[in-house]
Amino acid sequence: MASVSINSLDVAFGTVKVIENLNLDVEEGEFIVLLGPSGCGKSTLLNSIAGLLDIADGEIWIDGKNVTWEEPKDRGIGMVFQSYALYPRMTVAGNLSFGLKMAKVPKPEIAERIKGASELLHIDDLMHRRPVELSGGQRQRVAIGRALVRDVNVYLFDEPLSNLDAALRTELRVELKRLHRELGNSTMIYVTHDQVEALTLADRIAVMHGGIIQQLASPRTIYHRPANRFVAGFVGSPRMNFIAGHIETGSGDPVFVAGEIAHPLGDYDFAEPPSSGTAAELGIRPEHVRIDPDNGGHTVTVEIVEPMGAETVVWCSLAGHTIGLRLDGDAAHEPQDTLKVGFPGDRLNLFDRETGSRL
Amino acid sequence: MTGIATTAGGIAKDRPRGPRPRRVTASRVGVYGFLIIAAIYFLAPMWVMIVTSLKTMPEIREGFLFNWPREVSFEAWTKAWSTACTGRDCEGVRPGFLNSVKITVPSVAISVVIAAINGYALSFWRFRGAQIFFAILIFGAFVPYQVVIYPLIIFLREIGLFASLPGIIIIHTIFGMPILTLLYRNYFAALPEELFRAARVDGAGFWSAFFRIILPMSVPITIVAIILQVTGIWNDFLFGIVFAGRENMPMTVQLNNIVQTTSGVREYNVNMAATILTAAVPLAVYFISGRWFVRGIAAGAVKG
Repeated sequence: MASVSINSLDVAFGTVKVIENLNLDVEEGEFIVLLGPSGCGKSTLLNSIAGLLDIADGEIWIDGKNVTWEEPKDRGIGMVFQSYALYPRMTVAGNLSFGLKMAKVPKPEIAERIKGASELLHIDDLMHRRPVELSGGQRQRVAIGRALVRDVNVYLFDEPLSNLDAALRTELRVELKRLHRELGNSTMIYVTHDQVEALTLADRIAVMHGGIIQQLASPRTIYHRPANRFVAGFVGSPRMNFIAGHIETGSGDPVFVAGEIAHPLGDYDFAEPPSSGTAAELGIRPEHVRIDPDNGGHTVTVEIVEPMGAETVVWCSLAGHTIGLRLDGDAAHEPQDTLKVGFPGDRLNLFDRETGSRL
Repeated sequence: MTGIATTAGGIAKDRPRGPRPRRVTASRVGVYGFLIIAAIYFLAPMWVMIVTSLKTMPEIREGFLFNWPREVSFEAWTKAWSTACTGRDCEGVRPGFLNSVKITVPSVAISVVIAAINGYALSFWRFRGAQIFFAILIFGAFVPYQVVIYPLIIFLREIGLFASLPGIIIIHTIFGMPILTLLYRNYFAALPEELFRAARVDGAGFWSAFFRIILPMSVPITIVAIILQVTGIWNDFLFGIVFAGRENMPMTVQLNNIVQTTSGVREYNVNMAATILTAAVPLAVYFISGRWFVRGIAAGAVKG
């Protein structure tokens, strides 16, 4: 049984449909990340699940119960917000207990649940402080704690780490992952525009764009076999290299042609046999471009070298296209060097230029 | 500062080093000059009022408006407070003071509470037609009072509250509503929406979210609202004379009656003392809460 099910959901702001006919099933205990650029509808979807937003059509099921018309508090969810949204006039203890007091939970049980959550999040020393007296990381811990004490099965996170600085973000990210494991079979739905968070945290990622889930798959599949041009371009940094051209089929293997570039596609895993003349786009990630002085298929000229410590990103030109290469940190190349590079067939991605979908 | 840098370090004056020296520029002198003149301009009448109220009538007749009294006398003050005559009644402004308190306190309390709820509902519970409702309410702020006075007299007469304390309280509550609602709505609009959403997820309804989350955060704007209403209602003359009725005439009306009474000598010292007494309440409110007032206005003005 799915923990959260969304059936043909429509959300409209006025006459503008932000989400149209969206379906999503989240398994119990799964950590799912909604990833997408701003304005893609991911926060709208999360707020719809929480019941904070009126939907136009469709159903939302949580734990086998149709909660489409339920109030947020009755949906069995806890939520963590980007701005923490702690009640400023209450202490940490007050913040944690507010929801339980509203639900008329007996006092001893409130104390017990607060104790459990605060120990889990290491905030038990802060109980009598006000939110203004806390650092960003502590505030977000309290906000997570406020969701945890509700003792529910589904937790919703709306970009919880994006107000934190880089070091804290990494730290809390690891902690969230640990928390998910310690809680056992809690379902987590997590909204972010940060692909690193998505790739590191998720069991499955739903990449969203224009109110539509573009691909719902494991981080591995999202990264290595993107379902369409949008997913391929959005996930990965530096981003995937794209070369626009077309496919020619003849007597032998199909060939990708773009101007003077011709790349044989003998070892590419086509979804279905391509037809000749299909306008296509070839994509390959910077770390998959191989420098191969002997068998390299293409000659590129180095333009810019960006040493980043652990790795070096080298930007080259290939027949007018800019190609990024991700090399070792100690790779030594100078601008104007020429390199022989190869594109391994099993690392290639081909997209139909009309539909954007993977060929 | 320049002196220290040059002597201590022995460094030539033309080499910039350390904090920049503060120079007296022409524009700075101009700004301070203007501020001082403006302050004198506004304080001069106040000064005249105070010294006149402390003089005796013979000294006032000498005509030296700005002079400090030769002999300080508080006689005019006691007279203004308790024995000055308005027509046949000779009780000073004291009954008017009590009436003003009776009018101001409930009017301020009721209007502020209703406006806070209005602003809260308009910002966080956007019901169908909320925008239109708000627009109409704001439009109310621009309707000239004189236009609606006669219809309101008839309305209050029909419900039997004309010339009564509840009647004048209702009037002040109605007329305070547009500006106070605007004040609260703008203040709430600047609060993070996520806070309210968190309260919803935690199970807070309309009233519990208002009383437990939103209201505790509204202290600055509530102080602004109270100041606005206290001064506005205390200083009101028109509504007081029209709607309050003879027994409930506010202090401003009583002051007018004392000043306008034309039998015998015009007692300028009593008039001045009565005026200062009447203005004392708003003045005190500003002095006590001026800092809060500025802060609250700024907070409320952030977002519209």
